[in-house]
Amino acid sequence: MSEMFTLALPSKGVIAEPTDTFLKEAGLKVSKPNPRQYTGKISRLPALNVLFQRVKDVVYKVADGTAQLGITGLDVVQENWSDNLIILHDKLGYGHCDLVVAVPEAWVDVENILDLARVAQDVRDTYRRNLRIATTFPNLTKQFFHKHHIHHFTIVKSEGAIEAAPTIGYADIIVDLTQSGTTLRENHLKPIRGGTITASQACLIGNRAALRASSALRESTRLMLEYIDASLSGRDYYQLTADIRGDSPEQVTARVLENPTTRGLLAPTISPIHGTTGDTWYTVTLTIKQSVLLTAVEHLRTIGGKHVIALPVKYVFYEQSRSFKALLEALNLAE
Amino acid sequence: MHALNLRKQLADFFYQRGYTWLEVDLVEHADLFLTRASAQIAENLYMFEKDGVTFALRPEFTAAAMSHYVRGAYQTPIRWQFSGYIFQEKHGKPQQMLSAGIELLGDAALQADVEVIALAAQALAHLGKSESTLYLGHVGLHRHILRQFGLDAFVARMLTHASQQLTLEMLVQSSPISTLNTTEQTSHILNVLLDSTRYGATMGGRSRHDIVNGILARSAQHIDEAAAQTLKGYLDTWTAFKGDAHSLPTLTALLPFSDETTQAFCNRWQATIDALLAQGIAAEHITLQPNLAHSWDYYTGCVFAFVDDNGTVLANGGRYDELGYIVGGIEVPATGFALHLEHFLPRPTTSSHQKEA
Repeated sequence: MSEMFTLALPSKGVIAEPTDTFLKEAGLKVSKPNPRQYTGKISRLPALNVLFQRVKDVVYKVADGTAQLGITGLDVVQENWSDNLIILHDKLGYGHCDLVVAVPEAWVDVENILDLARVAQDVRDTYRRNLRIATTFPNLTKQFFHKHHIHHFTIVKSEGAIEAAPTIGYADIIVDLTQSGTTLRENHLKPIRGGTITASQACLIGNRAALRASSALRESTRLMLEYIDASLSGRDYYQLTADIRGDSPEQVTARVLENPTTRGLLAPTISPIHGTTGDTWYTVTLTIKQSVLLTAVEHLRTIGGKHVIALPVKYVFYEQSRSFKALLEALNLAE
Repeated sequence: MHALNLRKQLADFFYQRGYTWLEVDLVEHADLFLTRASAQIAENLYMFEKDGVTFALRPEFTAAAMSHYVRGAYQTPIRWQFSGYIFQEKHGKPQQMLSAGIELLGDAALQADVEVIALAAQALAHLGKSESTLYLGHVGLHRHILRQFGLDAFVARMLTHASQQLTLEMLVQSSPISTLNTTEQTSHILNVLLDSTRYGATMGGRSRHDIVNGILARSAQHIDEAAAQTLKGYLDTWTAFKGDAHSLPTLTALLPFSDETTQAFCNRWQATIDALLAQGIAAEHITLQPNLAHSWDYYTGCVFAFVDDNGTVLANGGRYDELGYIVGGIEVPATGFALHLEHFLPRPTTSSHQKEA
């Protein structure tokens, strides 16, 4: 029987459902035979069993080798970092949030981290106590504050409703995750300049030793990264087709290439259209960056383009998965 | 040589030169070390709590020695030596390193600086490391120059030990008090403070008085873009400069101020170098590196490090005249050094004492 491995995915929390959607869109749909069970399968990755875990437990399970791969938030990975872990992809493109330092709005003398360092010193000198910070991220918070030369602080570990801590009175400031800042504002708190500890999103992690030891695991990882990389790359592109009148393929190509936005990944494909009467027509096919869609369409129109069709690109496969190549380099393994 | 023999050999060596033994506690209140710690020390300090009090395993000997001196109300200069394990945290566990050194407390004289640096050189020669290079820097001169830019001690420390670029950016962003008289910012500040009174919004454990003082302090430290550029130019010069034993006049000529205190700092530094040369330290083994950084920001004067050909810091120290005030409220002129003994033991061990310069 071939070797089987475990992919840990978040079972609940804000990134659980987006993870399911992300994998589905990447062509890696997770089937869960029994919604009450914490296991599943991905038909395109037959050597992987899916195990649903809490976001923090995904990190623990991958670090201790119970699972070999996992998807969770980068903030949780950094907070619970272990040298057994390796980050295979740190920008899966969803679950964005920032871990920030937030202070009471009434602290109008504090706009940046330098001001906060002075307040920490003043609190120490005036009240003979440390600045109290409520957070569920004690490790990242400690690193960040020491790095910014703030040493006199006490971490108040809390679970949930962190943003209420200064109002209740058991902390002076907080370090918490925020997406829009609304919750901070509602609690009379404000982020400060230079106070973003980490900009987080969903990431794919692996167990370093397991990936080093097992070529079968590396192969499953390669397949997974092929789909993920190609799907993420595809999001940036549209495929355009347009019918253009012209004397020759060379002439049409030259007109299309007049504008850099319609250059395509390499160059446009020009095919003759058969069955038209009178003029010679060609179909131009090219793949363009999503950000230049309208500019490209406008250019095709100006050179006589008709029937411009734009289709989203599902995958762009390059020569190889860049993330997998980076993984091999990180593990010091040859391809 | 085993650790015990090495320690004994050094203890005899220092004792013969007038340094008596000081036993330093392994565990102290963490605050003692956090007071003037750098990020590297604070981050790696092995701390633990007992009955709500935070303790730490000693990461060095100097702060504890000064605390001992202050409590003992000594009147005359004291020469102490110490040795033993010091600790830092690595992956949640304490990691120990062997250290030894001396402190000369209660003596502000130039000769005390020379005695300590020369003694470090002699101790290294005694241990067979006479070929190391002596790097000399000066924290006091740097701080004085920063004060001439109108920066207070807090900002000077941040510029010296935290991120220079970030600190500069934030100084430029600080609003000067003059813009608070008429602008929207004034009404915003008043409204926020009034709201906090009306609706009981959190003050985060600070009073309105504290916040007004904070506004004044940050406003006083505001510098404009032009001043920031001048300051950056000075910081770049200070950081990049590296010269031989005779290069101090060149450095002095590059300084942006030449007031009496600056001259006094430079004259004393030059006298220290001359005295070290007279003591037999070869000129080719001396390098001036003004921004020589140490893991502690309590240094106030001439600082030094002995570095071998591999870039390993074998010993370092310097003058730290403010530490007495910080730990005990009295001014105590002081200087000293520590030897990083793991580099002298036969088995190579991992060390954090890599070249900091």
